[in-house]
Amino acid sequence: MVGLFVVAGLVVTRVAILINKTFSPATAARISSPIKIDYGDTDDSDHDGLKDAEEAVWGSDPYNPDTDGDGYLDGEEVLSGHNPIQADDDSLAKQKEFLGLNSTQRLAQAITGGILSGDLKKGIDPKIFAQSVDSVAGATVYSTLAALEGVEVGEDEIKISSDNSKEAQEKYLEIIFQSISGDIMNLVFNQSKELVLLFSANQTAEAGQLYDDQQKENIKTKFLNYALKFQKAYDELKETSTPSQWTATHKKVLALLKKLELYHRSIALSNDDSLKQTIILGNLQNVYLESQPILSQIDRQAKKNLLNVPHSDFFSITNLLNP
Amino acid sequence: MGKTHQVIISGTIIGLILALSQPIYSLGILVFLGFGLFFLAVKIIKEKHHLFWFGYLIGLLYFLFYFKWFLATDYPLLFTLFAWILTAGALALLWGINAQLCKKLDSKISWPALLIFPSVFTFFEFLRSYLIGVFWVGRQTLIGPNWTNGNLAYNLHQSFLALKISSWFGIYGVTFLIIFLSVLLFLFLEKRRYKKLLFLVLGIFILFYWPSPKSYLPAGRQVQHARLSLAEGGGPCNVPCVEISTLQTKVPTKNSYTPAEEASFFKSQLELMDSISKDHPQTKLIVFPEESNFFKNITLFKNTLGVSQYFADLFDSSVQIIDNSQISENDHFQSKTIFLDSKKGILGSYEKRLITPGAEYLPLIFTGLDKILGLNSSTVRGIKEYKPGEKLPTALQGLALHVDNFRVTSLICADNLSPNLARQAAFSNLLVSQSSFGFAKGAEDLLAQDLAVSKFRAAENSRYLIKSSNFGRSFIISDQGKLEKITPNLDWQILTGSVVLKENKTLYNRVGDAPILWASFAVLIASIFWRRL
Repeated sequence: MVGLFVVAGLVVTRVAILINKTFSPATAARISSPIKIDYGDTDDSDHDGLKDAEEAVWGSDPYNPDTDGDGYLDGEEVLSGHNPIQADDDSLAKQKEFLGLNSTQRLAQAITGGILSGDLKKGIDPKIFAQSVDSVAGATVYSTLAALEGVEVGEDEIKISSDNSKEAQEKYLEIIFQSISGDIMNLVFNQSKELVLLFSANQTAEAGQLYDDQQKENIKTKFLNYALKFQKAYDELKETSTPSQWTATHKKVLALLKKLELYHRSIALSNDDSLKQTIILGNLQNVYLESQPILSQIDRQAKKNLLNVPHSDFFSITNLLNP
Repeated sequence: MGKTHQVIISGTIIGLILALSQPIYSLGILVFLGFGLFFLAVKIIKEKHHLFWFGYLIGLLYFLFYFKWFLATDYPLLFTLFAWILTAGALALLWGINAQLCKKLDSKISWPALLIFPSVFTFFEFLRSYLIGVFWVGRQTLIGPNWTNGNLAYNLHQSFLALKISSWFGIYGVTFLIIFLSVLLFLFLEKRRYKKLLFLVLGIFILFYWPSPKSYLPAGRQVQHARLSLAEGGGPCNVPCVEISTLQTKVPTKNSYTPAEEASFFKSQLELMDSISKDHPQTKLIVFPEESNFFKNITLFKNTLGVSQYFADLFDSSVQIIDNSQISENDHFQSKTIFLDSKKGILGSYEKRLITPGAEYLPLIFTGLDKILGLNSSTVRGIKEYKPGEKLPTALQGLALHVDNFRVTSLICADNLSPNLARQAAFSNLLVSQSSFGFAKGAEDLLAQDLAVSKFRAAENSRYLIKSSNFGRSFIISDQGKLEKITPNLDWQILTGSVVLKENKTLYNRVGDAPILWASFAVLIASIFWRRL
């Protein structure tokens, strides 16, 4: 009897909930809302790290992120001192047979070619074979990262002020803190969680693919948004009046922001080059960590100049970890 | 007034008296009064069918009081009320059956009740320790005699005698004694032996409220305590002991935190570590609370080499550091304690065995109702699914301490409720308990319960126990279950002290609950058989 009452009660409650539930056509039809893609307002149409105006200077295609088709973004090539429209010896790809291939294809071709030509002899000594493959892979990692590591900011790119008063310096520090603490701190704490979700290989994706199209779009959106954020921070700081005593620090901060922009842009646009994407992703934390010596340097200089440092937990963490 | 009303009124009064005996009120001795009255009512109530509801009402009130910290959680009120009433209602079932069975076995309540009733109650209390696991069963939970919440023994956590008995026969031995003395009280009252009754009441009061355990200690142990005091004051420690520091944090439990919040919590942890390193350089063991995520967060700011360097630079010599992090693995989480030597790196890890219903996994009863009723509740979907660890608590050998043979084991939060887990962990010579009470915002009744439970775990196994809490109080409990030190409030702070490393084994540690449970079961079966004859 009690059991019957329980069952009857459940049925009545279920019906009442169904009746009271607000009817939603989308829910009823089980239509999932499309993810809104918003790359933000940008004057870099192909998101390669070169603004459309800069593309005009270099003669590269503002709607093609890799104008010469050598597997490197136009922005990467310019920052590492190469020509974005010359797919020859000047290119980062170096060898002609590699032109037009991305990093994943290049590594695969180098290893396959090595085995076929007999340079990589499998079966004789597995240790030597492994070392040889390791060397080839290491060279690929090195060349991929080399394209992103050559970022430098010249003095002519920043606004140096002769006002080295305490107020001017403290005002400058506040701007720097906002930029580094806000953007980088968000990345440090959030990105590791996001990466787990974004880069979980999809078992149902097409053969040979790690991710399905939606995942690729999500990765592109997320990382381009980060890139745009760093680009914006870079542009703002570039226009900031910098007390001359802080020129060296300012150049380092700008270089770091540019590098972060480039890293995120490269990850966003390397969906079809999984090796390159993985290499850059793997080195991303090291780029964040480059902020620590800069912050320590700021701390030392602020103490030396008897300046009040703005409150920032990120800054305090850096100091506590690097006493 | 009808008989039903009498049952309700007497049940309510006794239920409230027993509720007041719970750890938060520090009136443990009321447990004898409550059960004395319970047996008086069992004698008076003639209708056997009334007795189930009488016992059930007492149990319901007792467990509603016990679990009233449910109301401090952030879940929607309806969800919380349902979980609270269902838990108390389920646990009260066995108290109802208990009352009815007592009447059936000895309807007139005579001298044999002195053996039968405690046996029945002890055995049913043991069965009750399975009940939470059964009622709140989830996809991967353990069902075993682990959930000892509300056991009557814990109400006597201030009694040296109760703690001492637990080192021989565990909490069920104490339960047996409580019911035995309560029946004796009733029998003296019923047979009008008031002089004996008075002596018994005085005896109980003196025995269970003897003020200082020190006077009971053999000479050697008194020396240990004296040396412990010296060590706390910075003097030498001539027996095997270790200087410890526990970090107490105050991080509210949430599904996610903003980067600013995480940075603020991590910074506070680093400040406490900095303070230990500078102000307590003699520390050899540092304990973080549950879900402190210290090791996890530090890897966000340092690469592998940098992390090693940070720990190596903290102290001149090796320090053992115990942290607990929430680890995300595929489709679930794990609460993982990591043991680290500051000079040598990670020594090992242990994953929490006893995961908490509602907080760390979703009981099937909720998923079932959610589906049957078509609620599609965000609360139900929002609960993180943890997976219990497969290995038992790990004891790790300290590698570079000034004392030989230092082994420490961690019990994570609900693990502490399981005498069985603690017993298995006690092959170490020091017990550590890591907790987070953020989910109940540090509700005082929950903290009092946790302190009481910890005292019994320490006494049962004759091991010092160090508690490191988030949103709760941290403390140090001696091998005899005495509270040595406790933090004054729930704020961020460090608790330091020197604890003795014990090697001896108690009777309970050797034999566990088996003797008292088998004896109770045998008496129960014999009394049923005897009655049939």
